[in-house]
Amino acid sequence: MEIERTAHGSATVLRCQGRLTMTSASRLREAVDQAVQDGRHRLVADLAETEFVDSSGLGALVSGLKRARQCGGDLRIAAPVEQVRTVLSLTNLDRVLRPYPTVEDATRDW
Amino acid sequence: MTVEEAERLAVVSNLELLDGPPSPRVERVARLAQQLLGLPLVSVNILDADRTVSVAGPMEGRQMPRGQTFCPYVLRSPGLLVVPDARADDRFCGLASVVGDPHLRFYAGAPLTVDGQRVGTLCVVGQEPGDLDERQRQALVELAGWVEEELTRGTELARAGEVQRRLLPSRPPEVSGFSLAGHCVQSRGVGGDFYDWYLAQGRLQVVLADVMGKGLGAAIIAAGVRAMLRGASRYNELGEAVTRAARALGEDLEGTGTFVTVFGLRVDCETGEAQYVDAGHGLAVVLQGDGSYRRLSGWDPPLGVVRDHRWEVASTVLEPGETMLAVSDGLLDFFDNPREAVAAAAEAAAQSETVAELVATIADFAAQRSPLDDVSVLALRRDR
Repeated sequence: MEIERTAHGSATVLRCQGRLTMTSASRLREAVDQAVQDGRHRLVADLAETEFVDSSGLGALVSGLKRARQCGGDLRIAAPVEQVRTVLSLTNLDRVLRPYPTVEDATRDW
Repeated sequence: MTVEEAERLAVVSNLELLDGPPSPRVERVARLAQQLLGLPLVSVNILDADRTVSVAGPMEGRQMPRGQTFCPYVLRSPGLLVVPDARADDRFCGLASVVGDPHLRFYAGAPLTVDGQRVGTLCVVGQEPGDLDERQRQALVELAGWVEEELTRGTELARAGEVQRRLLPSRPPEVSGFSLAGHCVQSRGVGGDFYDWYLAQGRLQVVLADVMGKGLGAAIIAAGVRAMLRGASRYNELGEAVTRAARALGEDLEGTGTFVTVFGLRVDCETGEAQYVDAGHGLAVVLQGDGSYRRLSGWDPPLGVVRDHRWEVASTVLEPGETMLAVSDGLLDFFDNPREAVAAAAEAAAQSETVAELVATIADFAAQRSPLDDVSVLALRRDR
């Protein structure tokens, strides 16, 4: 899993490329931690190139959301592929991690 | 047999390596030993009561009468045993493998100790006289230590897996009019899936839960979730029980960054009236026997995601002949989408006489495809 961090106005985009699983979930956690430590609390996980997410990957997204909200920010997810939308809806996590169609949509009101 | 030998054999048997599938981890160390020593015939040998069995290396699966092998001498030696030329050594010149095929001349073996018992050797053999230099001797001893670690880790996991299997209910509670069956396969021997059933406030309650992640970490959390749900269910209606369990587990789940999906259903055995909670599980259905089904889904999140959430129950009625089926998401790996998985389950149900048969069909289906994730199945049928 490659994670690329870019600034997008007041938001920080974490572009996650590859598979977000038990073995790679810690990368996302670290990336969120680092962003929050740098004072960036409005985060978007760009999942357009995330092929697969397992439950540990979902766990990393949920932890990221909690971390960002603790600091008064938020974590939003953008452009998930079908497999990712399926696991989000199966676990009802799409109600806390509402998927936005694009990064643009996710950052519009920030 | 002496008491010491009986104790040694108990440890050997716990390794679950004799007559079973080889351990890929031990196999890897054997291959590395071949490369480091520059010698082809490396073997991990385990000493059973009357035979020496090769469990890793090019001779894997072969066995010989114990008395006809070098290895028993290693068990009695303080450390590494090196036999430069067996034909010139009184202790070994009469061994079948020296006198006859494969005519061994050279042997070096390091003892393997697990749980304080010498269970076997990491050894290397040759058909020409030979010796090991100091570097090779050191390598053999260190690699033997590594094999010991792998063997110990294997037995620890096997024991943990055994304990976890015992936490699954073995017999259905005595209720008339309903039959129950469950199955759980952890992909790593231990894991985060479990099912459970018991009587709660005069009704029959069934639970299927899946802790995020795999392996020992998930298993530790799963044991806590099971206990909390059992305790809370005794004195509370289902929604309240899940809510209380989630509150009690809150810190554990936060601390480990874990969430747990739970499906729970509580049914009145007289009327078939049931309440259920779907905490982000999403994979429970009622199968009508003719291949049609309805999903039992809800909107609630898994445990460990939203603090102070209240889990609500939804209602349904299990009619005579209907079967409630819940599976864990490990099963989804074999299908393109959840709908296909449910359709396959409905078809299996239509062809099964009993819930035990239905659960076995689904479990076999998963087992044949060596699942990467834990897979569990729980079925509850209201008899006709």
